[in-house]
Amino acid sequence: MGDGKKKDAAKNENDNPFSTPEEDNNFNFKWDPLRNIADDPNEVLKRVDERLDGLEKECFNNKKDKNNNLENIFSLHGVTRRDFLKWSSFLTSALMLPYIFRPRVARAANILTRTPFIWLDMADCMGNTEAFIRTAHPTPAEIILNYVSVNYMESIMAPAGYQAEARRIETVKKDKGKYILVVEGAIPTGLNGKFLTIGAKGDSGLKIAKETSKNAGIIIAIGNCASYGGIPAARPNPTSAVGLSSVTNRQVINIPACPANPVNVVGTLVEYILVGKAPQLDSLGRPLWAYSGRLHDNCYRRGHFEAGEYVRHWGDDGAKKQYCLYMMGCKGPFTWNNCTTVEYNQDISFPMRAGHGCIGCSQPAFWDRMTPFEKPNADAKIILPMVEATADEFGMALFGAAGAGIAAHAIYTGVKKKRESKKTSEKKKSDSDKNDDNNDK
Amino acid sequence: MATKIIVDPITRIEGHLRIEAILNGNEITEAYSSGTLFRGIELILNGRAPEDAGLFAQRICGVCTYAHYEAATWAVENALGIHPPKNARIARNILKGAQMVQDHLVHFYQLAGLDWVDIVSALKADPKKTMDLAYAYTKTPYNASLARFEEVKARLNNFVKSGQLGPFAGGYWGNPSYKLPPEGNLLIASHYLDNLNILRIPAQIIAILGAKDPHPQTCVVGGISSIADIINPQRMDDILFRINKITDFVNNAYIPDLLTAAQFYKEEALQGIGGGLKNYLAYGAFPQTDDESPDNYYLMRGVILGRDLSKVHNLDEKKITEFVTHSWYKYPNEKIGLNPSVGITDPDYTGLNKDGSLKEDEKYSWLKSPRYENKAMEVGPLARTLVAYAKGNKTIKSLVDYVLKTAGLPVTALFSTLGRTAARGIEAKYVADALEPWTLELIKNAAVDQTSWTKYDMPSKEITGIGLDEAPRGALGHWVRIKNKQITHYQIVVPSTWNASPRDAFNNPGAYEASLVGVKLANASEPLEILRTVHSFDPCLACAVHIIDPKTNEIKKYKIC
Repeated sequence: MGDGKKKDAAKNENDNPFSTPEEDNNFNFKWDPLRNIADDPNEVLKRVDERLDGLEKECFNNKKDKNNNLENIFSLHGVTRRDFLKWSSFLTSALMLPYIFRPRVARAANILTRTPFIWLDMADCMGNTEAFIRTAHPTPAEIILNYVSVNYMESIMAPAGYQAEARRIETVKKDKGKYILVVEGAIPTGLNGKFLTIGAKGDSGLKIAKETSKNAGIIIAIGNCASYGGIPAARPNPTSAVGLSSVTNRQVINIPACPANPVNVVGTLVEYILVGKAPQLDSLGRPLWAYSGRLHDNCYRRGHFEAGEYVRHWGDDGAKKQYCLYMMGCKGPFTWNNCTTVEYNQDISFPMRAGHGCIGCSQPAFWDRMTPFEKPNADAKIILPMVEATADEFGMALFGAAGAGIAAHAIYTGVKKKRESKKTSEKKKSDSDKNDDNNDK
Repeated sequence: MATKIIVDPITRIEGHLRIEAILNGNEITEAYSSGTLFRGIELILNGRAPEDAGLFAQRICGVCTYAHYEAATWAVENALGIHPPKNARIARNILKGAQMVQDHLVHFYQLAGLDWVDIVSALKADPKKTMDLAYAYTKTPYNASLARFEEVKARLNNFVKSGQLGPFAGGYWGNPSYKLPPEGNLLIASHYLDNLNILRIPAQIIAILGAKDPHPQTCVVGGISSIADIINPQRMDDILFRINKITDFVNNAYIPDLLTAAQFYKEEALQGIGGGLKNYLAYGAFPQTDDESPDNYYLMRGVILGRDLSKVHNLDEKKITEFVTHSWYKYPNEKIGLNPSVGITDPDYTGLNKDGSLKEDEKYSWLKSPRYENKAMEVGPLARTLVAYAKGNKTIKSLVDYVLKTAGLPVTALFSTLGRTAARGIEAKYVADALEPWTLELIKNAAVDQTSWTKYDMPSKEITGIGLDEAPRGALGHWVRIKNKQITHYQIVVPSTWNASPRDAFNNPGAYEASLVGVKLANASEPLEILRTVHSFDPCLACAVHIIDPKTNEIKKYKIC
């Protein structure tokens, strides 16, 4: 889209974030066939609009209610209309949708606030909740999820005990097939589920998870624990904990990572509102739009990897120069997520930026397969979206003919450097040796 | 007539907690606290690389995530007999300080705030009178103007009118135990909203030095990995800039709001409601010297017995034992407690009564009962503040005296729910004030010394280590045994295990249980007062998980009775 058009669109949008700019009628975009809704873009837009119209009628009392809803909510939290516009544009592109969807994304967000919502805490550490309510900036995403549509979320709701439980049970009954279910934490199945009990009757977490899943409109497992069992399921799995998808026969959308990025959750929900079903998932149940990129490919330290420049121990010269962390056990090459592009805590940082390797927290069983975290483990059995292979085998496949496997690459560079340093006079020590000296001081 | 009420789930906490209370009339005569989740992270740590201990242990809790990371790292460093270099020591202090302040802020406003503040009553407030209240305890109140209070009131009004109360729905609004006038409610509600923006700032500081929050990745055994950020002036400036915002909010919102609340809830404190146990324990944290000597900790270490503030006993970690008499575990002899370094855990779930209530005379919780000299102890900000106060820490003393004097309360008023809440605020200020000097010290040091890691060799022989630290909600201890470069035994005693523990072999109640006795409910169907007292401990139950079977490493099958 040209600059001029953008300006016009912006002008139009200033009046109403939900209105469709005029030039949208002459749109021309290539539909992503992965979403599998319809082949014809006209048809797609028509269906999306029809769905949104229908939902809006259901959710809002009248037009005024519809238009003021988000503004009421956001102004309470100090978010301006402009912030919301920016955010909806950002989310549209993060979802890999054409720009024409921007106002529709905004409308979907509006509807989302009136969609009943249950957040279940299972065997968790509440890290995902924290990522929302405490640390992520109150972008519209967090507000929509946490402060508006929540019918049951133990961590923030005012009532406790009977009053809290009543709200969950009522929602499951009344909003059958409509409510959004987000589950955080693994489900302990050992001891008949009694490793976790909730409520005055002492119902097991397993029972509640199953029951609540049955009637949900869409089910999201947030974080690695809910997705794949996470740390409770790590060897020896004392409570026989499993991911949510193992205890329900409904489709579960996995948003792994530790903690999961709120953008990925809200994006998935918005897409659900837009088209009425889950986004396209990879073989590990993760939305492709967020989890199709390998961290290693998008890492700002990648150049150093290519150049064979590595951090060899903590605090060495390479660490100060932000060299590649592969030798310190970085699991970026085997991990699919968007951390390197979306980043954590309002674009402040992500593990590699703080000089620590990725621990692979978006992958199943990373507690067993990626450990020890701070050493390169080339023979680890790593589960990849499509195949199961050792890291080394995978490295070979990854770099193919262009280069050797990652480990081979690293070793090769190391040898080459040593040779070079030997060639030169003894006074000149290799980089890594120098670093040792620095450290000894 | 005695009646029993069950509150489960306790909401606005971290983790899964149930409280059962026996009521005589409207007064609680006995209370039972039960952790209702078991994950077994200690067992999972067995056989792992010691370097990974911190990354595993921090997943115990997504709230005090950094405290566990540091305590685990300290335990391994203690076993190796090494200390991190100065840069790493200071950077760790900044990380934990930021976490502590953030946690206290979230606690006061988001988690416990709704127990003291009636949101619906705020709609009746007069914004002009609210202004007077805002200026009562500070000359520069945070984000306080007539326009702001009118705006907040109007927005709350819209919010309530829209019928979409979200998390505020179903609260105990209008309960006579809410004592603040509408203006007080509006003032604190307004800061409640401000804090939604503030609370991400300390998290950003953690992210600058630690990659992300929760679950940072930087505190490696022997040092810290983010040296590139430490030597980057722009990144350090990012930290300083944020610290200013935090201290501003603490000084001009948190502390004045606390004093406002104290003014109206004074009576409760004078009656000592929610005081509970009389013993207090603090491990201390924030090493100020490079040998990390506990004598020079910024938060002081010590033990107070029988509320006797004239004497602070030295901590002897060997006196810490854990009982399982009323916990779903088995010991060969349940009359005796075991020190965590030799702790055994053998889960023994005996279930609930048929009606779903706890079997109070038998086992009823997934938490063990840690005791010091066989005494039940309270840990947390109140314990730390009392230890520092009794030890004569000048800054703490002047802060405590100021708060007490302004509220017109005696020192004994500290032994209450309100006192616990006030101690948390005092500590938030004490720690927030230290962040800037620490950061400046780090910048100064990094200019001449860029070491960030101490080299070590992991021996094959058996070594043991202890990491005694302070999480925001209290004393946190990690015990580790390492052999053949692998963890062979791991035991964690977390703050909420101390505070939320069930009764021990001598039938001594835990801190929650003791503090609830004597609490009166204005309305037995609304457990507001129970929440207020339990929340004042800042419960964090995911931490309080327990298991290890060091010998067999096997998982047993359990049947429910």
